[in-house]
Amino acid sequence: MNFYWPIDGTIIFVYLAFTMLAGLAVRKYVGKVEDFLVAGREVNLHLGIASLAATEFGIVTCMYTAQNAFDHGFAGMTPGILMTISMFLVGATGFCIEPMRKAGVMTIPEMFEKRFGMKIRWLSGVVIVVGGLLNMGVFLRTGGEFLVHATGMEENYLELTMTVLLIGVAVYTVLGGMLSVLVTDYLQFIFIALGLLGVTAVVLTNIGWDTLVSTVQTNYGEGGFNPFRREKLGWPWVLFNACVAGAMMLTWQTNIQRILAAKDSKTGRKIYTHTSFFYACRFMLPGLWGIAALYSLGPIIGPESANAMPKFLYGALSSGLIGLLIAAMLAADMSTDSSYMLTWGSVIYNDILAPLRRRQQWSQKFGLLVNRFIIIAIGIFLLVYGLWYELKGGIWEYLRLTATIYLSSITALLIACCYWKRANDWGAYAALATGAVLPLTFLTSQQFEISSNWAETRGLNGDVVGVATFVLTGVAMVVGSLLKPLFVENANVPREES
Amino acid sequence: MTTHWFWFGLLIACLVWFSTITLYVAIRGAFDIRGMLGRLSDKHDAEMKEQENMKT
Repeated sequence: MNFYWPIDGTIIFVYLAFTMLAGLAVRKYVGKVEDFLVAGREVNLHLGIASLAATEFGIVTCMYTAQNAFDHGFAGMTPGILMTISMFLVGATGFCIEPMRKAGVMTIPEMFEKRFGMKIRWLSGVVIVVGGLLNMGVFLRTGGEFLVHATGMEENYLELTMTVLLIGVAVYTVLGGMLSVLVTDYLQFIFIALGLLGVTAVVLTNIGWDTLVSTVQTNYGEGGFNPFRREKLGWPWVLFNACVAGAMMLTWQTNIQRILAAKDSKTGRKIYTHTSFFYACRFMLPGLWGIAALYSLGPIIGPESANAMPKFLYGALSSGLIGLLIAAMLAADMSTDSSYMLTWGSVIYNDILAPLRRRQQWSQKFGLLVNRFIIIAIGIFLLVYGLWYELKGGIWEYLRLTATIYLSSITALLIACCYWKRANDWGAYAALATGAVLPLTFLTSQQFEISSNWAETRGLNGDVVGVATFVLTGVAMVVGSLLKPLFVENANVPREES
Repeated sequence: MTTHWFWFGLLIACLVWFSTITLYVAIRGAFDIRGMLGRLSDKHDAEMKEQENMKT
């Protein structure tokens, strides 16, 4: 361990002090709920890029991308390429995001109300929050595990470290909302970049590209470079990742919130096209650390492979770089946690509490207060769930499946809402039910030996179920929407018109 | 190095793109923040004046 307090400690302290002060300094600009949730829609291109990139790179990202490469070689980096392609296409065409930004909504479910009615807005809000919070639930523990292994810290300090970090993030998010998140994201993006590039340069200098390639070749053969030739991956894995990548760019609320906070739809689209290649970087660079860990430690089978990369870094980095790495990872975790807390909180406030808000005519001041309480409640949930829940499989597998509960149905609803005039609430109900039932049934069936074996003998794994969920959710949307006019008059009149 | 050129090319592209965008965003992002806070401040001032006018 090369952690040297005067150097590394100073880097970390300066980073933390600077970020917290910047986050707190902008709280005076928050006057209304719109300022708190979407920064008064005043975000310009470069700040949008920094914020989106910093939000979508947390310690958990670093851990699962490294684990993917550790377990599958370069083939495990494929999701990054798929995400880059889909984000670029969505940004370039404005598919769904342009009508959404032009509608002037603050969340995706708010968009649904115009077409499908209040009940669908509320229900989709619930689906988004459940999927999002389950997804985010593992961030805290994963981040803690990284810090424990990368610094050689005693495991007893894991809970304390993560609790202090979460409280720090919650303080500036609660006070400054999206404005604080944006300003801190900007600083955090710079630290993340310095850490990612610095550590990658050390890995490439010390181990070398050729050694990394031959490590993958030795352990995984040609399948380590081509996902279609790797038995554990194959076309269902690639197809499911493509579905997740496409759906994520259209409906993942933390991404969409940047579009909705942009000063206009053109800026929103540019934020997407200009940030798209970051998704390849976020799989590629930590992925190289994962392959370096494979070279250094040898193969590890099972969930423990997630900790291989931080264990490798523990011995590989010199003083100064350790400080930079930890500051970068703290930056990554803080930017992700703050944005995610704000995002899911905004859906709870804007959509789940919408009926209550309208009935009681909440003032802006009371609305801000409620938003702040929601973020505190999410923080408490994260702490309890994060410290209690232990992952049984790969991190990326968990994240994909929990996200699918939300991504499949909300994507079907959004596309239909924006581009299909005959879409209606029957189709929306059917899509929401199908999108939730299939992944949850599969997750439950995996807990019992009989059903698990039955599924395995028929080739039904998480990837096949994931692809089937996306397809069937789309079918449910179409069939449900076409059925309604057979039973109800004026079935396809948008709710706001009726 | 020439074998698996795709992954090598992607790595180089990632390193070049990430270094460039970081420098670019670090400089221009600071101006964006200043502009955003300025516009929000103006908006709040205008709203305050409007409220005062309504009272009088």
